[in-house]
Amino acid sequence: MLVIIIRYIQFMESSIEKKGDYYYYCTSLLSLPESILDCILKRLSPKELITISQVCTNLRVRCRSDHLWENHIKKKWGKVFGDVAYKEWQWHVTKSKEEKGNTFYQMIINHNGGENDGSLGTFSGSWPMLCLGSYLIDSKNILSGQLLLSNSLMMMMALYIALENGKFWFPAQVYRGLLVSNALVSYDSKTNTFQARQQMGGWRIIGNSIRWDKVRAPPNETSQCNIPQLSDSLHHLRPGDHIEIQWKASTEVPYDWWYAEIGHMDSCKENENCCGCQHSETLVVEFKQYHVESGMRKAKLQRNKNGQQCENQCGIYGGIRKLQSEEEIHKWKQLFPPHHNQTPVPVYLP
Amino acid sequence: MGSPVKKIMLCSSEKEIFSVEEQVMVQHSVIINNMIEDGSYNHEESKIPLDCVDSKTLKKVIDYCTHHTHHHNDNQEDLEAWDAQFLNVDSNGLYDLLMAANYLEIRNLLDLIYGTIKNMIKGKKIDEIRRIFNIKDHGFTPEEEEQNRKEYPHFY
Repeated sequence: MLVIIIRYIQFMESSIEKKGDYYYYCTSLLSLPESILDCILKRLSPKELITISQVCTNLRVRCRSDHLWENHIKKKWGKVFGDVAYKEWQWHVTKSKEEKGNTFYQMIINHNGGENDGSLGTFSGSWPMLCLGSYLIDSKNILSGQLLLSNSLMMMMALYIALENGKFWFPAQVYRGLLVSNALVSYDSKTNTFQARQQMGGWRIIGNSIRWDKVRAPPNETSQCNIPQLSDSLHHLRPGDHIEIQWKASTEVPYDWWYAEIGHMDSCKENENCCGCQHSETLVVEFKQYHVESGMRKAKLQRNKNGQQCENQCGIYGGIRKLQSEEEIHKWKQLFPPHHNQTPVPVYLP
Repeated sequence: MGSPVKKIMLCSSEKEIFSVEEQVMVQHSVIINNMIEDGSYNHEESKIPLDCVDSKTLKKVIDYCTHHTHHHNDNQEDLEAWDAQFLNVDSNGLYDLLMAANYLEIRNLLDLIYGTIKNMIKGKKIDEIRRIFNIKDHGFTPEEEEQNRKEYPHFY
C-alpha cells in the first residue's frame, strides 16, 4: 500500500511542469486530432519518422503507416523505381508470407541456420537466357519482423529501408555510353550512387558509382527479359518521330535500348507535301549519333513485322518505343558525342 | 477619400467581440472567405462565432493575419524574424494556435506551426522527445525497448 502511495506522489510530482522550462508541455502530441497529427507526420523525414516510431507504441503504428512512406518512396526513388520493380517487391513479400506459413520450409531454414539467405525475384525467358527480375538480400530480416508486427501494413517502410540499405537489387535501366541497358541496381548510401548488374548467365557487374541521373525506371511494361518488347503499332510512326529501339549484336546477349529518329526513304525528296514515307512498308530508322557516311547510320525495318528482325547481318532489332516527352529526347541527346554531326565517330555497333 | 475599410466581427469563446478588416481575414482564412463569398455573413448584423477559440488565441491569430496582410512585401528575413517572435509561446499557446489555425483553415499559419513542431523533433533523442511531448507511458515492453535500442542506438 505504501509503495502505491509513494508511486502516486512521484507520479503527481512528475506531472507538475517546471516553470521556465522551454519545453513546458501539458498537451501531448497524442491529444492532437488525427488529421493534424497526420499533417505533422507527413512533414517528417524518414529518419525522423523512425525516431518518432520509437517514442511510444501508439506513434509506432502511425509512423509506420504505408501512406507516409509511399510519399518518401515517390520523392526519393520515384525516378528510378518503377512499376516493374514494385511488382518484384510484392513478389518477395507474398513469397515470404507463404513461406512463413509453411512449417516444413521453416524447418529447412532453421536447419540451415536461416542466416544471410536472400530471396530471388521472378524469372523470365528460358535457359540459358534465363533472366532474374530482382534480388532481396537478407530477406528474412527485412520482411519477417516487420510482417509479424502489423500484418503487412508497413510494407512501404520496409521497402524504403531495403532500398536505402542497398539490400534490394531492383530492375531499372542504366545509361551507358550511347545506350540504355536493363539491369538490376542497388543503392549505396555512403557514396549516393548505384551499382548495376546483369543477371544473364552469370551475375555480372556492368557499372559502379552510377549517378542518379544515369538510372531510370523502366518505361511502362518493359521487362528485364531477353525477348523483344512488343512495339506499339509501327504503322503510326512517321519521319521526324523520336524513338527508342532495342538492338543487340547477337542472340546470346540481352537487348539494349538505342535512341533513333524515323527517317525518310532514299527515294523521298523529303518534301512535306509529297512525302509518302509514312505509308511505305519500309521503316527507315536513323541513328543520328553516327556520321552521315557511317554504315551504322540507317537501318531499314519492316513495319508489318512486330518484334525481332535482322537487317543486313547487322545485329538484331527488337521493339520500338516512341518518345513522347521532350525531357526524354533531351536526355538522349546529351549522350551524343560532341560535334557528332561533323566528325565520324569511331565505329560502335550497330 | 476611399471608401471606409470594411470590417467583420469575430466572437471568441468568451463572447468577446473583435472587429477586423474583412480583407485581412478573407485573405488568410479559407472558412471566413467562404462565408463572405456565399453570402452567409451579413455585414449589418452578423458576427462570426468561434466557440472553440479563446480571446487570447483569437487575438494572436488576428495579429498574425493582419501582419501578413500589411507586410507581405517585407523582405523574407524580416517576416521570418517576426514569425519566430510570434511563435515564441509556451506549448499550450502553440497547441491553441494550432487548433485555431486548423479550425479557421489558415494555411500559412498551419505550415508555420507544423514547421516549428518539426524543428522541435529534429536531432532530439527519444527521451527528450518523450519529455517535450509529454508522453509518459510509451507502452513498449522492456524487450521491445531493448530491441529498439539495439536496432537504432544513435536515437537514444
